[in-house]
Amino acid sequence: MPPVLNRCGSGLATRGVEETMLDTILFISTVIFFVASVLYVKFCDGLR
Amino acid sequence: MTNNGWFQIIFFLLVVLALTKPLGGFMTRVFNREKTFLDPLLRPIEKLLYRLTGVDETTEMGWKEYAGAMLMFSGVTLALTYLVERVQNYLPLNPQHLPAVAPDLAFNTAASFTTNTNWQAYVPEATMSYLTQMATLAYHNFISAGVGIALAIAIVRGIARREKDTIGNFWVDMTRAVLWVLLPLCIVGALFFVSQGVPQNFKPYATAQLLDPQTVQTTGSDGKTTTQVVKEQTIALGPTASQEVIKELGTNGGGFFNANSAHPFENPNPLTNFIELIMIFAIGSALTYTLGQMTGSPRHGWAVWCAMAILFLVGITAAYSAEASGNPLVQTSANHVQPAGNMEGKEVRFGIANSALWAVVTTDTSCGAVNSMHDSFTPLGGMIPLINMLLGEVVFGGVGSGLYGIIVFIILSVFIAGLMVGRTPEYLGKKIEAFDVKMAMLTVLIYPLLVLSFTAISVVAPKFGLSSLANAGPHGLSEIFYAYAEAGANNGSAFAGLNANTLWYNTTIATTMLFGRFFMVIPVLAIAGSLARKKHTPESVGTFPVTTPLFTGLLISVVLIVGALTFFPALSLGPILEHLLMHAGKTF
Repeated sequence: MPPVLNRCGSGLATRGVEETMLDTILFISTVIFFVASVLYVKFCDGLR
Repeated sequence: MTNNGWFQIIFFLLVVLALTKPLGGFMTRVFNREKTFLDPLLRPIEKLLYRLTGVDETTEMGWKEYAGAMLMFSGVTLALTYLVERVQNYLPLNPQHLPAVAPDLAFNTAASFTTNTNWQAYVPEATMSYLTQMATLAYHNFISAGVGIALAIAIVRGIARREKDTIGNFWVDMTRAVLWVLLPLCIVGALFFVSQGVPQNFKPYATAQLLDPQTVQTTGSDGKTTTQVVKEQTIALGPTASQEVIKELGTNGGGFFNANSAHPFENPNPLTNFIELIMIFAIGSALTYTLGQMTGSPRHGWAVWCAMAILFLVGITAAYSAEASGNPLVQTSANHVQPAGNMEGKEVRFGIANSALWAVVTTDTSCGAVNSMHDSFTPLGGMIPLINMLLGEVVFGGVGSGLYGIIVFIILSVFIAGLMVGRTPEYLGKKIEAFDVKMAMLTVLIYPLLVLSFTAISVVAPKFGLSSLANAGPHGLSEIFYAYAEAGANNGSAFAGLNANTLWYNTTIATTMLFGRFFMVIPVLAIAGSLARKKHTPESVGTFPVTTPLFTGLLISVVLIVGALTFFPALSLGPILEHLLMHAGKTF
């Protein structure tokens, strides 16, 4: 359920951040997260 | 509180109870791969899907393989969702010509729907095209719920199996959860909603001429006031019914419209309200029966169900009582504008009992759909949904996540019981050893770490944490605390009052959702793998029985004590302080 106040659509220009740069950062962050998850599987297994 | 209100609440619980055995028994047959009446129709589709995707349905997986498949699948679908949102302006089924979704919002939404959270930091009807709503968001409603059920079944198998290295096949479990459990119920449910007036179309939004044009004054960011005469109203439409049904059944909660189930097109009348409530609890409740059946201890399944039902009754009693009492500052005012209790933020169609019931049900589970505004609840009334999430949403819980969440607490309970009598703890014939408890603790600790850390950073950061907050004082703290609590618990409901569509909140809430889902699930699968490998130990005189009222009481105590020890300080600075200040005459 959404909060009362929202920003609709693409509004990053108002924040002065390049969208393509943010796309790249978020993509890399996602890849890092899932790689970290795989390492977490190994970490858990190592606690045996 | 009224007798009518209590009758509806008790009747609701009785209907949930009545559905538990048939639906739980059906799921047992589905996941044990026994014959069901849907096999002639669905088995060919299932086989075709495996052939197309190269899945060998006879291959079993160890817990690490199972976790790897789940992570890979979730990662890929998250990326695809992000992509569709970012290019929706070039894709079909966008009659309103909505622009591409901003990167941080697209990331937040993709993470939100992949993790079954369905937090929406946007207005759906003004942000997402029909294609985005259907091909990515509604798709995730099915898939994330299917993944949740698969994970629950994996840990149940781990408990049931003896000296095996495998816990099932992720692809098969997820496919069968979607095909056999979710899809058939959704088709019936969507047709029912259409019969009650919920739209299901691809038309552009309708425009209505106002009989009484309204003069509206708005103040821009530059401080200038403009006056405008509004003569038309835009009425949003779209394929709502099909999304509405899985929104509840899959405990997803992401609405087709901004107002969610308070919107008359999502929830037109008290009957749809009741059916939607039943749908939210149905699968979570039924899975306790599946637990009992698959582990060969039906009484254990019912003992777990009773623990959940008692926690539900405690929650609804507190929330209903607080809302029916209303705000004393308003009640004592000269004109007594709230004779029935606190109606602010509530639909008159549903009233206080059904609003309180919905708030409790949606946060007992990981649903997050709302039919009233939780931010407008009294401090204690609003604290109950918050507590439900902080306890880990183990009261029937999200589809699958509720069951594996309560199993973690069961492991802690039998561990504590074992410590009390000085014996190695056992759970349904499996010895609970150091590794299992370590994994249970990892599952329990990751959630408060995320929620409390991000809340603490936000409340001391005026530039990015407080700048989009609408309320000061303890209420403001509750708004931020609630946002991270729902994200970590993959709930998705909002306390409102906080504009979370900022770079800081979009990215940190998405991070909380991702860690809250996957870093909790991985230790759970490790427990499943560990239990599956163990030998069965016959019950002895020293075994703590997990089928008795004593076990139910201990389980409830452990859930409450872990939650209280972890979150009481934060709750005391938020809703509890606000309640005390309200009685001292101060509001926020």
